[in-house]
Amino acid sequence: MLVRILLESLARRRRRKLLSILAVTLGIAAAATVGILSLDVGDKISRELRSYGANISITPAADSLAVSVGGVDYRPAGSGAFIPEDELLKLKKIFWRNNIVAFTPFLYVPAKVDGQPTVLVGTWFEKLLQVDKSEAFATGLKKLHPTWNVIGEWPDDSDASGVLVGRRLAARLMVGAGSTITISCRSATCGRTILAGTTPALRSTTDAFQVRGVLETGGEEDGQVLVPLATAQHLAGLAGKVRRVEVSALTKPEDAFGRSDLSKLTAEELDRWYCTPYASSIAYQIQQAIPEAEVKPIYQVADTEGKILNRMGILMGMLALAALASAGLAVASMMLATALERRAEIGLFKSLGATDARVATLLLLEAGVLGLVGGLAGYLLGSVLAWRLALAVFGVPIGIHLVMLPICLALALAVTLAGSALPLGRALRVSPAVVLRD
Amino acid sequence: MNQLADPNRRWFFFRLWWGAVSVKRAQAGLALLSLMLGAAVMSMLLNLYGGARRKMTQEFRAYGANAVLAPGPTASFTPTPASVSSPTGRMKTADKPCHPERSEGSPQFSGAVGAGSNNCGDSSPANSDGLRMTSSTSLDSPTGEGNQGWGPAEGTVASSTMDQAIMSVVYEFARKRRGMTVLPMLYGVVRLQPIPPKPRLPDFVNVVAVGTDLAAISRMNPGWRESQAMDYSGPLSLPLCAVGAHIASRLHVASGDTIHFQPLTSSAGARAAAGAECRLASVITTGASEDDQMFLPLEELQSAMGMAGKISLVQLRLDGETGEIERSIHELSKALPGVDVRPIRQIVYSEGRVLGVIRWFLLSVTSLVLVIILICLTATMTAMALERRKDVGVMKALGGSELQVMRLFLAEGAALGLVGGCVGFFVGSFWAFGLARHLFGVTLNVIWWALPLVCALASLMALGAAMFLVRLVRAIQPAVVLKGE
Repeated sequence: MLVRILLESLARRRRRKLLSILAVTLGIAAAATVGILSLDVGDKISRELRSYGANISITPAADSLAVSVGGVDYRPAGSGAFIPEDELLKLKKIFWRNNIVAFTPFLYVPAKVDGQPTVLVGTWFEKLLQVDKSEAFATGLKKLHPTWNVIGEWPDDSDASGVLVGRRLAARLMVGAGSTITISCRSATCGRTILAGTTPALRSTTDAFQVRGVLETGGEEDGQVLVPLATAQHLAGLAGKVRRVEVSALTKPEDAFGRSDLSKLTAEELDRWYCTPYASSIAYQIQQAIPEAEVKPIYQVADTEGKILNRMGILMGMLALAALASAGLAVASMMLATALERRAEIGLFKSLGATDARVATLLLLEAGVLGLVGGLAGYLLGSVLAWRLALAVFGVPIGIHLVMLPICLALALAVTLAGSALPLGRALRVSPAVVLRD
Repeated sequence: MNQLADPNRRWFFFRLWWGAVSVKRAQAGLALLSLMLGAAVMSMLLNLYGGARRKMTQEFRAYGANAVLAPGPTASFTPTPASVSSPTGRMKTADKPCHPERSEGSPQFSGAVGAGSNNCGDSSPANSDGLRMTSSTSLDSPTGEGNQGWGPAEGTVASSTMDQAIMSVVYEFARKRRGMTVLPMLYGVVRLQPIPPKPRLPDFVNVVAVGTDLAAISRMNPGWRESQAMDYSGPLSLPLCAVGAHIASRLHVASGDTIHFQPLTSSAGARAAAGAECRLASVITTGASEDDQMFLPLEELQSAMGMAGKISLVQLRLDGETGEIERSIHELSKALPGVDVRPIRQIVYSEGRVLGVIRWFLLSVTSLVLVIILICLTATMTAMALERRKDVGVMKALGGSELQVMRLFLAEGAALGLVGGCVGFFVGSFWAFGLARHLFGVTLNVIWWALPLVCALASLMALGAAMFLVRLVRAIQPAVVLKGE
C-alpha cells in the first residue's frame, strides 16, 4: 500500500520533482568533483615532486670510496666495484614495481675532451626496457629528470657517436649542437685489458663524437659530457657494468611505523611494512632483488617530500570538507524551498485521517528516493567534470574513484532528508484546517 | 503623479517589507548562512593560499642550495700538475708488508681493488692474491705511473677556481635581497688517515674534501642526518671537520677521533703537502655524494692546498618562488661578469610545478563552492519571494511599480550580501589562521584587501540571485494573489 502511494506520488507533479532532482544533482556533482579532485591531487603532487629526480640510489656494496662531487664520480673507470647492467631489469619485478617511475644507470670514465680533462658520464637517455613479453617500460635520463633542459636534442641510445655536452663545458670548449668533439681516453683509465699477470696494454684511444645537444641542469653535470652507456662501457673496457643507478619511486611519507627497527617487528608487522611503499621498504625490496648492491633512500629528498605530502594532504582534506558542507547546505536549502509547497498536501493527508507517522514516512521516503537518484546522477556528473578538469590541466585523466559513490549517495540522502524533515515537522504541528484554508 | 518621490509611500512600503522579512526569519537566516559560508570559504582559501605558498617554498628550502655560482667559461683553468701530488716515499708503504687480506673489497667481487685502500707498496699483480689490480688504482706506486691514472680525476675536481674577492659582491647582494644564504666552497682531493693509525684496517683513503663553513652547510641542508650535533663554535686546539658515513665506516672513526688529511691536489709550494690534523665533529649520512666526502673549514683546506683566496664555487639558497629566484639570479650574474650563476633546475622548477598543482586545486575548489552557493542562494531567495507573494501583491495593488518592488528585493539582497560577506570573511580568516598555525606553523598576515573583495562578491551573488526573481515579480498579479489562488 505504502509503495503504491509512494509511486503514485512520485509520478505526480513531475516537473517539480525533476527540478528537485536537478537541484540535488548539481549540488552533489559539485561536491563529488571536489571530493574526487582532492583524492587525486595528493597523487598529482606526488608525481610532480618526482620531477625533482631520484629519491633512491643504488651503489655497489663492496665499492671503494667514491671520489665524487654532486654525484659525478672522478675515480679511474676501473677502480672499485660495479653492478651488472642486466640486473637492472629486476627493478621492474619487485613488489612495488608500479611505483617505480624511472631509473637510470651511470658509468663514469675520466677522459679528455678537446684537450680538457673531464668525466664522461655513460647513461641511458631514453630506453625502452622489455620487462616481459607484454610489458615495456620506458625509462632513462629524460624521464628521470624532466626539469633538465637540452638545447638541441637528446641523443639516441643506439647511436654510439651522439653525445650531450654540459653547458659550462660547452661554453669553455665553444661547441654547440651539431659540433664535433674529440674524446681521448688515457691508457690507465680506458682500453684496459684485464688479464692477471700481464701489464696492461698502454693504449690511448681518440675518437670523434657528434654533439647532439647542450645540457643545462645547474648541477655538476654542466661540466661533463654525457654519452650512451654502451659507448662508455666500450671505452673503459667494462662491458655490461654500471657504477651507480638512480631510481625515482612514488613513496608514502615515512611515519613512526616506517622507521621501526626491522629486527623487532613481528612477521605480520613486517608484512605490513613490506606492503607499504615507504622509501625504505622499496629500497629494501630492491636490495633483495640485487644482493650485490647497496640501496639507500636519498634522505634529504625522501624526508622533504614526505613533509610536503603530509601537509598538503591535510589541507586538501579540509578544503574538501568545506566544499561538501557548502554543498550539503545548498541542497538542504533547496529541499526546504520545495518542501514548503507541500503544506497543503500534508493538511489534506491529515484531514483524511493519516497519522503523523504515516505522513512523515511517506514524505521522507519520497525525499529519500529523490535524494538517491539525485546523488547517483550527481556522482556521475561530478566524475565527468573532474575527469575533464584533470585532462585540461594535467593532460592525464583521473581514475574512477568508486569510493566517492557511497559518499555521494550518503550525503545526498542525509541532506534531502534533513531538508525535508524541518518543514515537515513544522507543517505537522499546524492543524489541517488552517493549512487547507490558506 | 510621481510615486517614487512620495516619502510616505516609500516608508510604508519599507515597513511592509520589513514586516515580511522579520516574519520569515528562518529563510532569511538560511540565505544569510549560505552567503556567510561562501564568503568564509573564499576568504579561507585566499588566506590559506598565501600561507600554503609560503610554507611550500619554505619546505623546498630543505632540499638545500638551489643555485650555484661557478667560474665562467673564461675563468682561468689551471690543470693540476700531477707530479706534485705523488707521495713518493712519504707513505712508507714500500716498507710495510703487503697484507692482501686487508684490502678493500671481499674476495668474491671481481671488481678491481679500491684505490689506495690497501697498503701494498707496489701495483704488481703478483701480490694481488687472485684479485685483479690495475696500475691506475695504486697511488703509491714509486714509479709515479699510478699518478697518471689520477691526473685527470684530481685535475678536474679542483680544476677551475675563482677569486674569493667576489664574495664581497655576493654578500652585499645577499644583504640587500633578504632570504638568501651564501656558502663559498673549495673542492680538493685529500688522503685521510686516522690518528693514531689503526692496525688491521685500511691505512688511508682518498676522498673529496669540501672546504666550507661547517655550521652553515649543516643549516643549509636540514635533510642531512648527522650523527652528533656538536657546537662548532669555541676555541679548540684542532680545527673541526666532518666526514661522510662511508668514510667513517671504512676507517672506523667516529665523532671525537682525530684524522690527518693531506692534499693530493695542490699548487707547487704548498704548506709542505704534509697536511694537517683535525678533530671529527660529526658523521654525515645523506644517501648521496656527501657520504664519500670530508668537510672542513675553508681556510684550513685553502692553506693545506696552498690555494689561499681561491674558491671552487658558491652555493646559494634563495627564498621565494620560481620567478623571484630567476630574477635574483639574473641580477646577480649581471653584477658579476665572468662568473656563471645558474639555478639548480631540478629544485627550482619542480617547486614551480608543485605550486602550480596546488594553485589549480584551490582555484577549482573556490569556483565550485561559489557555484554551489549561487545555486543555494537562488533557491532560497526564490522561496522567500514565493512566500511573500501576497505582500508583493498588496504593494502592487497600492500602486507600487515593479521597479519599486524590485528595488526592495535588490536592496535586501545587497544587504544580505554585505552582512554575510563581512561576517563570513572574519569567520573564514579566523578559520584560516587556526589551520595555518596548526598545519603549517606559519602565522598569516590578515589579507585586508580580501574583505572588500569578499563583500563585493557576496553582494554580487545575492544580487544575481535576486535578478532571477524579476520574472517572478513581474508575473505576480495582485488580483490573483490576493484572491488566494
